[in-house]
Amino acid sequence: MKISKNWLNNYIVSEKSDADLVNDFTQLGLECTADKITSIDSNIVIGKVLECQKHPNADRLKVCKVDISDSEPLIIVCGAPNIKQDVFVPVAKIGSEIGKFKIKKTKIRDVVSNGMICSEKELGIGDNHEGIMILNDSFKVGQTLNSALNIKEDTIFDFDMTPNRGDCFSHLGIARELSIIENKKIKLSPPKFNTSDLSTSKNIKVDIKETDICNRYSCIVIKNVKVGESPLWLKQKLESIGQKSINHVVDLANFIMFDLGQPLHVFDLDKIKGSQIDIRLASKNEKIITLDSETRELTNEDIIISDSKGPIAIAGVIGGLNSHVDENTQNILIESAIFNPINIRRTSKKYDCSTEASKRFERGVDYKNVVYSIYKFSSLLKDISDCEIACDYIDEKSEEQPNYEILFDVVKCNNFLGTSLKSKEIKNIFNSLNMDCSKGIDSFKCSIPSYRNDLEREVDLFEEVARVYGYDKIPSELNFKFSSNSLIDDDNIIEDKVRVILSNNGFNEHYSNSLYSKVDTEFSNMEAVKIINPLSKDMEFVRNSLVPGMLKALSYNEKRECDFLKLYEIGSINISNSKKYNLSYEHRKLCLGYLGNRITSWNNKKAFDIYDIKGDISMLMHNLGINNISYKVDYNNDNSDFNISILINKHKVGEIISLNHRERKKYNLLNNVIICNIDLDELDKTYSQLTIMYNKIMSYPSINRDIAILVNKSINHEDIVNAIFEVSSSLLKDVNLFDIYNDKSLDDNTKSMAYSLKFQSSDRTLTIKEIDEEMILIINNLKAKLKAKQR
Amino acid sequence: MSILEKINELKELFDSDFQKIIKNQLDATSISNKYLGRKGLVNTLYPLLSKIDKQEKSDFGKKINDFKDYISLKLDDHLSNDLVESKTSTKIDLTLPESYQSFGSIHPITLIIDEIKNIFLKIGFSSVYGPEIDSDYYNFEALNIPKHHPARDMQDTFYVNDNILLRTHTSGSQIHFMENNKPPIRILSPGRVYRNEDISVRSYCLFHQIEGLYVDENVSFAELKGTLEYFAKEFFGSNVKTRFRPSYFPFTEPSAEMDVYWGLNTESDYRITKGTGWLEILGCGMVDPEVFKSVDYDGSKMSGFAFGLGIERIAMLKYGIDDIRLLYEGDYKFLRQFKK
Repeated sequence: MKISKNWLNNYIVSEKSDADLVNDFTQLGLECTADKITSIDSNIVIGKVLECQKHPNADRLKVCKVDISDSEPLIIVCGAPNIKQDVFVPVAKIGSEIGKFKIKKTKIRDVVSNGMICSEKELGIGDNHEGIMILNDSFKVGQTLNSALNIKEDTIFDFDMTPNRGDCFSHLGIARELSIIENKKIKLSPPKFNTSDLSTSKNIKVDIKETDICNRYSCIVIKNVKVGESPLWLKQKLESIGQKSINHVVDLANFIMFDLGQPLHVFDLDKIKGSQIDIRLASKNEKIITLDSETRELTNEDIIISDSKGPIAIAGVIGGLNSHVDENTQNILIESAIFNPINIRRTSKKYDCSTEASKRFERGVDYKNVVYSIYKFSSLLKDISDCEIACDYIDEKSEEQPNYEILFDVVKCNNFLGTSLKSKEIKNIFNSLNMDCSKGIDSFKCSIPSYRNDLEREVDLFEEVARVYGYDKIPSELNFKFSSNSLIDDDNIIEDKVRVILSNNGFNEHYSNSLYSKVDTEFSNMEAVKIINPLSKDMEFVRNSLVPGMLKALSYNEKRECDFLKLYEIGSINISNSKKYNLSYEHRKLCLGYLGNRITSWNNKKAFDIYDIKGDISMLMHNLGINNISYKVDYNNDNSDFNISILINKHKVGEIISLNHRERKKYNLLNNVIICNIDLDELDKTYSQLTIMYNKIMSYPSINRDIAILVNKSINHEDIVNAIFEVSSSLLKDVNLFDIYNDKSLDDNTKSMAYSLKFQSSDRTLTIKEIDEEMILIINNLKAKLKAKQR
Repeated sequence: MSILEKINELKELFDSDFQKIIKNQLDATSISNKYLGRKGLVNTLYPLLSKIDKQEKSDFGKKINDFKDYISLKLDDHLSNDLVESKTSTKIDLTLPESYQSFGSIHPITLIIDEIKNIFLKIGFSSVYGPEIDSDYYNFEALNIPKHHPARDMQDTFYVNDNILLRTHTSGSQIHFMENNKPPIRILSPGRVYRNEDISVRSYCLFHQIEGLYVDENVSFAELKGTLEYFAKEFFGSNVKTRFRPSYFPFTEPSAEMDVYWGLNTESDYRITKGTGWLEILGCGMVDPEVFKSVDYDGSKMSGFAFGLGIERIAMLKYGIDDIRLLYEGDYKFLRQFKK
């Protein structure tokens, strides 16, 4: 919200610098920035057009001789349609600046122009750019435009208002805050104007149909208003805070809103049908065409102003086209009211129509300012152009707003804030906020000003004390009592472990966008949660798998010439679940992504394969202390096309998936991609139950025996190991594969597998004989079970 | 001649032989044989031991052994030196790249969350986690943000239906935790939150927050200040300058924002601090009595404070990241820069 410093001066003058004011306002909780607006260049002066002739070489241009009370009149080329002899105009001399534009001597179609005659828009004091600005001929020729028009430099504060401070949405409101900073009181002078015999109540009757939609409705009739252009002061005021000038009646209503915070609405009295105005909820099927020419279908939560024929305005939000003020308007009705904030908010949201008025009604306006606002409007209107103001006004109240008081306890406040303020200091603070305090030292009653509808409870007053006293003056304390009751375990501790393990082993951690397209969600067969108001079709669902996010990142890197990469992500996925209060079930997941299949460096040209991934999984599990991992091949077409389950104690915790070409194409991936998807919740179940138990180290020497066997290629390593252990005693401690051999010397279906077997006893040194016996059993079993041949 | 004199004599002899080895006048292997061989000179010393007292025997035995070690050490050193210098072709070239290593990294968001968690863990704040998809009640109503409250404009929300939404802040974790626990409470709640905002250099449709909550008897605003100033010192360094200024959040009263002094040294400092030199770091305040009502706490006995901070913003400041989208693209050239 923009606030003009010059405008504030009407209430209170501050000698402080802009930077100090920005700081002081910010410390009071009104965050703002300041922008200095320079006045008009003093080289722009009043000139009188002495002669105005057609340009010899251009039909639309004129060559003017302009007196600016220098020794010689200036020759200036001007293209404005309204330029003529004897008018007074603003003249920008050579060297003056208009905005960022510097005026130079220029030749326009062979005629030298010694300056520029300006329009309102060019000068930044109005919107009119259809012609040059024609000034009142009472001004002195040569006088600066600044002094002639009383234009001063200004500072515009731009406040980032918090929604609780509806009272600050006006110059008066900000002036009240400034009065705290300046420690001065501000005065509101009662407006004075002459009324006529005209009576509002004889012209109009007002009825508030439902009590809770409108607390107060005041209005006044004004006749013989000649709608026209606003005077310069009014245009300038509105312009300074970024508001466009429309006509003097509408401008003045806006001025009052920005000045006092009370939105006013102006009806064309002659367009109101009948003499009865109702404030009511719209009934179904009622329609209104609003000022922005939109047809609005109303519902029964919209408050409307209606005449005998139907709605003439959506209360507090926007007026109707059927009652609005135009250039032919003569008689008007000014409305100043308070509408229910919740209704106003619903309505403005529904029609996507947030107006300056609706913003203020939503945040609450001052009950006691309603009538003052129409008075101030009337008085200013009469100053601008003569009109007939009714001698009475209508003031309907659905309920009288009582004076509000809050009981305040000094000790409680000091305990709460950690301060040791004296009762007197606190009363001074309340005084600066225009709150009267009752007698009493430790506790007293504060009466809350009608404009502070945010102050309802004692704790709200604690905040007022804190902010006026200054947050920075409140001491800091870090003196915790120790309480073990508040100490609890971190549920996600396994995630921190996993991160450290993976990142120390060459994985880069990635975070992906968890909002997915429909196609992305199809990667998992679990139903994803859909958003009803997504940013775009690409982000319509909450992710139900980490995999698509991983694939997008791998694809992104592949496009940037990365040929081998290991990424991981830890995050939540959500699955639709109608039984949960939030309609979804959240899981924590870990996803590893491998891009490419060849690691190339000067001393290693190794192909990367599934056994490397198995190595990574084992490494991760080992570092977590989890041992009972196994794998189950769910699907296997060839070396690069598979689906493998990862099991802990035979229970599935994740899967390793190679991506087929169709899936790769969806994400524009060319290289090999392998994904490993692990359920962290499942992993955590095992992890959290782990205990470490030391196994005694055996001190008697071990004996190693190697065997090499020929088996059919369909026989798995695990089959062989099982067959070995099946017949051996507890002396066999370890079986290690050390070679797999395929050769032309062997037939196509045979492979050679070589194992090293380790025997050891915990209580004696083994004899060769014992081991020989073991070996015979083992070899016989391999032959019997697997049709193996010993080499 | 005593054993000692004999050892000294042999030592002098060896030392002179050793000088000749260095000058390549003698061969180290033959000298080794001459002294340490089966019939070498050192072995001639052992018979002398039989002629002396039992008491002294072990002493002199040790002296002979020491002399033996002396010789073999000198000869070994000489031989191994020789080897390196003679075969220059096998010298190590450590300017060659190391064997293949893919260097891992931890995401900057994780780094910041961990750092903050550790700072608060020291003063007894444990971490808890709330759901990303939540109800209107937990995200708004219970936090004193009724429907049609203008404060809802502060956060653009993604909805699943009229009542279920993607959480817009981690503050809802406060309610979840307090519903199931009694004071004293000292928790952090990190997590992902969503806002229906267009994606740009400065804003993304999701980001991460850490919520903090402390509830006990007689907690004061001064303790809020102390706690957060402690955090700022730990995180930004002990010289950091902080300020608190009033703000507004429906679920705290009084509400505040904490700024740190960032300075005005560069053009970007001007931009990010709006020319004030101060940078907003977090929002905080004393828990509003309405929030205590939502979770059936006795607001007349309990008080507390809550705070929340945006991780992306802090990560971007700390690491000088100028485009928030980098955090979610997964470019390895970006990711691998974050270690520690």
